[in-house]
Amino acid sequence: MGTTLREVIFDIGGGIKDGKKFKAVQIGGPSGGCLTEEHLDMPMDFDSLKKVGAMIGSGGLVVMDEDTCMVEVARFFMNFTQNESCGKCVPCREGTRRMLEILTRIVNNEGSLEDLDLLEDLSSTITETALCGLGQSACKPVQSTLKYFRNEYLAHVVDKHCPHCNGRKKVLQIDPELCKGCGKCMRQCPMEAISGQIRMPHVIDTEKCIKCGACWGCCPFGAIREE
Amino acid sequence: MANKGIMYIDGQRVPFDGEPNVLSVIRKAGIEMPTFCYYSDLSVYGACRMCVVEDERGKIETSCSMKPRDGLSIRTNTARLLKHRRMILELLLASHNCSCTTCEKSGDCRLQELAMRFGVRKVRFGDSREESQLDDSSPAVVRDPSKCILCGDCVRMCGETIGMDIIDFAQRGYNMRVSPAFGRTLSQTHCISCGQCAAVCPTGAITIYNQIGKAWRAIHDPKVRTVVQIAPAVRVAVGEAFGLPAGTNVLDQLVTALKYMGIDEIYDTTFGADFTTIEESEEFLARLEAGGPFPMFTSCCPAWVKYLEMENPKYLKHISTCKSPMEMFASIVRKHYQEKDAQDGKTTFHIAIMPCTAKKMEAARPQFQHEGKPDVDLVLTTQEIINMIKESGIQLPQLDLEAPDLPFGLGSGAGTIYGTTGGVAEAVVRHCMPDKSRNTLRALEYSPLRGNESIREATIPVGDREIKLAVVHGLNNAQKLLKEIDEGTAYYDLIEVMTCPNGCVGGAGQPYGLKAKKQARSAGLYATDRSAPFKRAEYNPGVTSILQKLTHEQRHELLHVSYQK
Amino acid sequence: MSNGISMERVEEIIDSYGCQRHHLIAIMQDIQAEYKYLSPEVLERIAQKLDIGVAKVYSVATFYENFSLEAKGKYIIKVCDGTACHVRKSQPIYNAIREYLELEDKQKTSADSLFTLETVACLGACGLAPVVTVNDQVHSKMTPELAIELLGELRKEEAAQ
Repeated sequence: MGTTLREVIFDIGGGIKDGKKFKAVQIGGPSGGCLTEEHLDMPMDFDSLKKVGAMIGSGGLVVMDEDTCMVEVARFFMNFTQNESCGKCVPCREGTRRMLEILTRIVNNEGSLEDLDLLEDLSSTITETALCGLGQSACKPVQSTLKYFRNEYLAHVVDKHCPHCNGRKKVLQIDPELCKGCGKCMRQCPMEAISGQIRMPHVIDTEKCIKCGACWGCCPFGAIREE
Repeated sequence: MANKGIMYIDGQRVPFDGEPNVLSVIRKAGIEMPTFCYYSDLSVYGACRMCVVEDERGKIETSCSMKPRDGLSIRTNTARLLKHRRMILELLLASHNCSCTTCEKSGDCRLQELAMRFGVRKVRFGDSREESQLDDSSPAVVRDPSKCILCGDCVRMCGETIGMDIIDFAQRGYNMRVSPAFGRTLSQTHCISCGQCAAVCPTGAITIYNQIGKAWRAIHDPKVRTVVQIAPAVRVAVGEAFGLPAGTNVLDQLVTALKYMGIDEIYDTTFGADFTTIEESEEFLARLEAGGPFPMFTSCCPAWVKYLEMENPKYLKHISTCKSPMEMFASIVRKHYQEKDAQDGKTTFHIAIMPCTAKKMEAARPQFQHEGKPDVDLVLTTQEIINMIKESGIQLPQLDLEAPDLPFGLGSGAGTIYGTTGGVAEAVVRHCMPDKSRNTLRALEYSPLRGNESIREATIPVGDREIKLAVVHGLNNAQKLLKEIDEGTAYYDLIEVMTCPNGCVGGAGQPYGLKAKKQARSAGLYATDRSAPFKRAEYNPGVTSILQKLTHEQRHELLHVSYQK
Repeated sequence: MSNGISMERVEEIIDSYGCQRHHLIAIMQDIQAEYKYLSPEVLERIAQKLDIGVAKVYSVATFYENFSLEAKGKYIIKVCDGTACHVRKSQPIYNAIREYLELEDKQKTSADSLFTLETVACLGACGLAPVVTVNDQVHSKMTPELAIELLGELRKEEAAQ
């Protein structure tokens, strides 16, 4: 209690893997808010966190680096909350479902600017009228990411392209010109979606591919691209 | 000690005294707080979140679950609250089958009403629910889950007031649905067709089984003679749909309306009730002689009989062998028109206008069919007849008065009060008591047979005996009583049971109403009784003359039934 | 009972809680612990003995993910799909087992009622990823081939009995 976030993440935790930059930290599970660089020197105690709209909750920290798409993070937590909703009260049962639908649309680059307003309207009603704590805190991830990472939402809805998140609609392809057939991506792929002979250009089976980007991350020749 | 004090609502100073929640106080102040899941005669559920109010510190809470507190100041219509109400309505409309214009509930639907009231013009989401099936297996109600807003009123009504627990919530979250266990249809459950689920449903998710088409076909068929009987509880409720206060007896205008619509003969169910009073009293006196079996239960409530058949058959030998007034009358009508039909070549089609959906189930029972034809061809509820009157453009309050037809249109005051809790018991007692003076009537007026408590007891001297009577309304309370009888902690000679709260005046076929309306309807029936020319069944000349002409076997065949297997 | 559930035993469990309705969930948990699922007959009997509507018992049974209303196989296979196992290719194992057991659509139990296949969020054995448990016995560093081999062995054992 009282140790700063910076100490916990960088000293005790050993810092971000692969020397990546810190982006945000989610505290206390899906119901907590997320905090950014400007909060790193804040002491971890109940009052300090409450002041910035977050909470210690379970005490767990999920640290996100520069490659994480914050919109996807919001969607991921909303998915969890929606699953846990008991279904009794209208704002949480119906509202979180709709928030999830909108966030999924946005992540798939099919959202619009109106969707951002809708997210805020829904969040306001759900937070203020839900029957229990689940509903009341369900929208915290969305509200805090909209506050601190609005540019990422705009990238999805305006540019229709997010540099971090491979966008579910996009397809990952191996450029046969650049591919040396080393097989590294094939070994990394969790879905065994890549096939190819050694030293021959490899190919991604787009049916099996879940676009996690592991192949893209490990290719030494930068041969994997989003189309 | 009652919770008393002063509250400030939208700046208005409002005293409260014993109201169970802030919502009731707000309504008392003349502000119609919107709500779906709050029904004052049921427990608080707090699910729809429409009744939210804001306190001085900006905290938002639902008023249905807030206790009134002296000095509490709240606002009911701030910008935030209106925004939230509109959003909640938009969310409900999104997960709803919005085919309003062709919906059974159109014009009477709370979702439609509140969406209009709050000016919801856009629904920005689509219906993502799985497809659901219509359930029209029940003779009483039709279930359409695509219109359900999950307010839970039907669940609480069936569980708390009726005590049957036929439907409940299944699954969770967005997949939550109201349904019988295992997704069965109503006909596969122990549903007793009381229809109270439809009576409280704010949308078209559960509605009364509408048979108006069948009625019109019979009326328009020149070869068919339509004969109608009108139940007591109907006459004090029909007027509500035309702006008249609950409890106004509009029987004579209803008769005129039916004549305009083309009905041939119009009679009064109280005629049948007089038969029931006489037969049931004689049966009761015979049981007193024979020493049992006790308690004797009334049998005029078909939902109650169905409950016994399904859940508690050991008491089937206790219920009266009398048919209900509707069916007794139907037997008399059948016998009377057999000859007439043969003479003029027409077919008689018997319609009963009832406050009750279970009567639809009763009319279809095999015990009440003869030569493949039901004694009652069609049961129409009060709501259905109201729709037919409106469809015909008839302005009920402006009509001239006309009495029902003879020979069956005249009933006693005792028959009229069958429509309210305690009425059947009082009618039987009036017949059994040898003292036929007005004093007896007065004494009964002040006895516990009248009143609104769910379980009432009375000890009445009949001859040299003291009869222990109980009157119970709300099937849940009847089940409690049965438990006490099982355990031996309660004993009664005669018990009147009505499934619906407040008796038939509160039947599911009646227009929507809370306790106050139902009590007003009961008061209307007692007032009619007071001004009736004769108040005892045995003084009904039509009834006694028929009974005199019947042999013992005929009496048994026409007027009695056995439900035992 | 053809599904292996003894109604006497079920009644014993209900009686052990004094037939008190506020023990509904505990009763259902005990019965499920013994028979791996709650059949319709079980739910009806519980409703009867506790004097609760069967709709309410069904409501509670379908509300909690923990309660299963479908019969499970003799061997319950759990493929861990937590982050570590997922990245270590737990999905191909799951798919291979599905194919081997010829499971269609939402089907979870094989036609011969021997195996039920489920995924779990995380078993906490990330160092042994990918992990598969069969009736709570942990099998580490699995592959689709090893999984099928394991199931084949179990099938042979059953046939021999």
